[in-house]
Amino acid sequence: MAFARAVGEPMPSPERVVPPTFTATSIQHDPEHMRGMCPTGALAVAPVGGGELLHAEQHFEYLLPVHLGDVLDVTEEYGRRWTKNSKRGGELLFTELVKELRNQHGAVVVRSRMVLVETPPTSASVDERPA
Amino acid sequence: MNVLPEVGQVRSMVVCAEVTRTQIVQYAGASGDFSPLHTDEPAARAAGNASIMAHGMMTMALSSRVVTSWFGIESLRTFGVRFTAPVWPGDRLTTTATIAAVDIHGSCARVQITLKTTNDDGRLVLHGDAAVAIDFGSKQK
Repeated sequence: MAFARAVGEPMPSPERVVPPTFTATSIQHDPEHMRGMCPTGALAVAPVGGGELLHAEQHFEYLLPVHLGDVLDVTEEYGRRWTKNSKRGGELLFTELVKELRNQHGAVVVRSRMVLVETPPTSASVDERPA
Repeated sequence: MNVLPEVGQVRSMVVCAEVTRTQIVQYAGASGDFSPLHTDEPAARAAGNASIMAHGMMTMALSSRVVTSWFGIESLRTFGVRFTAPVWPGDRLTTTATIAAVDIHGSCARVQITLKTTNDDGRLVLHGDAAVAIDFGSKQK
């Protein structure tokens, strides 16, 4: 319901398939997340070089619909890592995080791939920063 | 929604009339992403930003509505985007969906859509694509 309010979706109902990006909020079900203000999972990754860690890309593959009441199990693993030269100097470090979500019947419902980018310290302009 | 779209067909929608700090914080609460870049204005400024910025996933969620209001959530098969510029409080976001391809296999069609979201300066903040599956079956004839 909080998600629906924040992004202007209709209120959830058992008949309605959940919105396409809703499963990306699965961190909410980690009891340790934000306890004592400490994030877990991808949100806990701190930039090592003093720059910012930003979300560069997000991809979803939908295999089966997800409904209110489904119980999802998430597995996540790091994928590729690569670097690219920043237009403003320094190196951009990209990291991929791949997730697979299964429902209570053991069927894969969603696969997702997140690409995070670590910017070099203070060199990247706002112009080339993703969100 | 079982009417097949045509290649080149476009739908455009203001997906957010004005991004506000309250909405960004609301999304932080909904998503669990409380990064200071999204929730702590002094920290965001100290990091060299003009203010807090919206979550990329908030922009993606807003942008998805063009596709889901056209074809229905259950039709969606893939959805992927790149976040190309930050979204700031005060931004008005418009998403444009363009039909890139329609491939028909029997009574099913797979429709490829390209998506672009811009702010009021015309700056691209998100681009990507989606694929939907439409079973037009008996309704086509």
